[in-house]
Amino acid sequence: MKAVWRVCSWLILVICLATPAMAGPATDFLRQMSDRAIGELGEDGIDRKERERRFAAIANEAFDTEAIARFVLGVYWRRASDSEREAFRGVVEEIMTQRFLPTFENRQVGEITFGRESPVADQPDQFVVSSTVRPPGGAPYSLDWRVRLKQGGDPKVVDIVAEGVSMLITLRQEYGSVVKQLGSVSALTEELRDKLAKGQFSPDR
Amino acid sequence: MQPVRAISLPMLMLLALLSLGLLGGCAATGSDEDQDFGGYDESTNDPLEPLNRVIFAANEAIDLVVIRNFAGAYRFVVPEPIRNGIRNFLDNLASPVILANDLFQGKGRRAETTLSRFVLNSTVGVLGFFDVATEYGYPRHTEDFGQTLGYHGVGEGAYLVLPILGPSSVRDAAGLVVDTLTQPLTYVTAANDLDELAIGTRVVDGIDFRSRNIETLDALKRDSLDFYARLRSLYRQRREVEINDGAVAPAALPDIQ
Repeated sequence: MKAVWRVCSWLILVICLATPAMAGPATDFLRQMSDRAIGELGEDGIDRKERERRFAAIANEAFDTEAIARFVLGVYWRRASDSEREAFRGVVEEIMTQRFLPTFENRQVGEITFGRESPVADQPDQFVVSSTVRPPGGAPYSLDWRVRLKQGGDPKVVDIVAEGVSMLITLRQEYGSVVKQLGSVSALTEELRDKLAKGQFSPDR
Repeated sequence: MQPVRAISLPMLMLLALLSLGLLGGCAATGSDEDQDFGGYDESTNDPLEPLNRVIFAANEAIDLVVIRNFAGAYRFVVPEPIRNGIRNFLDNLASPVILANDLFQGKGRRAETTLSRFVLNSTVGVLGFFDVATEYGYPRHTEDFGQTLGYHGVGEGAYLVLPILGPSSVRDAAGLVVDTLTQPLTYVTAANDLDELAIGTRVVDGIDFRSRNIETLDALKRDSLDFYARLRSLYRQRREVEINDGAVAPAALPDIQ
């Protein structure tokens, strides 16, 4: 009886510690998405193709690929033709899928604890949800999720910031440099397709 | 004793001076794509890009042929507890520099942490081989003179790639020089003709650092189309965060419409 009581009080303590001080709609959205990904990918008897298909659907819902593509291309987005834009946006979607599928598939990401949710100054529709990731056997690191709550639309992730390094800014500066060298957005898209075909965005390899 | 100091210090200073001269000319010229960031300064800040890319390519080659292999061998041959002990020892040696920069930034609490760490780890931690201070509630942080300059509002200056040392900036390269001068070990080794020790600690420090980042850097490179541009971006973002002691400045969030 004493042992049971001890376990219960430990459980209560753990639950209290794990509960964020300030949850909000953006945090709820992130939790829901990650639970869904883990649930759908964890189902027994589904093959690799089906996993990819399911996760692509979730990633497409979770990430604002249009906003990400637009920001990453910056000034080149404005100069690009409609078909170039659409092709690049499609590649961004595939990159997100290839990059994050193994994370949820193997749960190699470790335990994520969501922390504070704070509004972004001057951009009232956006929130940053901070989280701490404890990878198995590694040092914990901070991961901030920037979520946009569009009016009348679904919430979507627009940026992921690891230890202060923004995915959007990094890709924008890198891909901007590539477009400058290759001369066109479609050339960049081709290079990215090539990397996708080799599976080089997957952290697993 | 001379190799490290005779070659690298004047070279750093020369680079710093050269680039300071370039700063004035380049600060105001932002190209079209540099100004599309809704208030966030996102220019690549790289007037020396052609030269930097050459040094970067040379560094990459040296890394591929020598450093990465050494780092891999080091990790393979030396057991983890010993490697961790060496890491702790080297970290502890850097404490005086961190303490000086805590003080230069007027951060009393952090200076206290660094001093407590140094005293605890040098004694209870057996000359720094064990990091007992973290368990006593004094976790490690780093500071350097580049950060101190940044904290006091000095801009980063042009982005630089230093031979062997890699990504830096005019400000951070100048900081390296000052950090060498605030490191008491510099004077101890110079006065006692112990250059091998001075160079040795640096080499081991570098190899150990590299050995801890083999997979990270490989992964970072694998999905990159322009590794130079990627590292430049990562370096500059990380330095901004380090200057803010780990906090992301709210103004640093890009404008997404």
